[in-house]
Amino acid sequence: MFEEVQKILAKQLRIEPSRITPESRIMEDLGADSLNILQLLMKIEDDYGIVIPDERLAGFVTVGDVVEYLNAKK
Amino acid sequence: MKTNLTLLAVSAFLLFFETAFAQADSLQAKRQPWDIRVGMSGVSPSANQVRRYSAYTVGKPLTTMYGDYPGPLTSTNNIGAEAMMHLSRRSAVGMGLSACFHNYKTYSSIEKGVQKSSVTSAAICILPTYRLYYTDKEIVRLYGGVSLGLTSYFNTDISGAGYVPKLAFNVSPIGIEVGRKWFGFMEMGLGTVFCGVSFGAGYKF
Repeated sequence: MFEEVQKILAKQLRIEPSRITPESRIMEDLGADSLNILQLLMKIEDDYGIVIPDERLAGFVTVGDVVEYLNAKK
Repeated sequence: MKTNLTLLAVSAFLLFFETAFAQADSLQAKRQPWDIRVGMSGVSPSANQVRRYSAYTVGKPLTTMYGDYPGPLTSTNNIGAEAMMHLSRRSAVGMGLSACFHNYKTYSSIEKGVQKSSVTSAAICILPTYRLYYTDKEIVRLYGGVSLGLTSYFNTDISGAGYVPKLAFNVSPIGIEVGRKWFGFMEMGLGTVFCGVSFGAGYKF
């Protein structure tokens, strides 16, 4: 699951996948803005056919948070 | 009997809100392919074309100075309704209908202050619209859109001659919708239909 999120993030933020680790903070470390996060979540929703409630947005600080959420949803 | 009616009313109210604000678990269940909306914006620039201005201007024959002149203008602003069909999560097409009504009185230039007539004019637009959603999350959606259609003009004072339908367009580079099934929206736009901000409410189903 981490590899898939890593791939989506790298493509969206146009950065090297190697820069992205589970501990990377999406905004501070990877330079994403709130629009990037929304687009990331939309992509994940489309790919996995799930709905991520908007209330969860504030909880996604690191890449690991997103992966953990998706693993729990499986 | 009264208690039963009250309970029924409360149940209907709760059912309505349960339906309207329920969160769907799967993306497939979340998809709502239609939305309808009503809104308003500032006075339509094209609607101003149907207003008759004071007849005399420099360069025209002096006799036109004695034509009737218009008083203050009252307007409904631009009011409209739109139905959209969502082709995908990113795009939607639809049809909009908007109208802007003006009313003004004309006064005699010869008999000072004597009202000659009350004139109502309207600009009615029919606008096929395409909308692109930059983001489409559960509560907040950002979008941009373009509309291209026709505007018809009506005026109770001047015959229809010369008021042939004209091309109408509007571009809204940024708009925001907030809400699940019921939502409010606001968008910035530029064109012959409205310039500035448009706002209103809608329902997705």
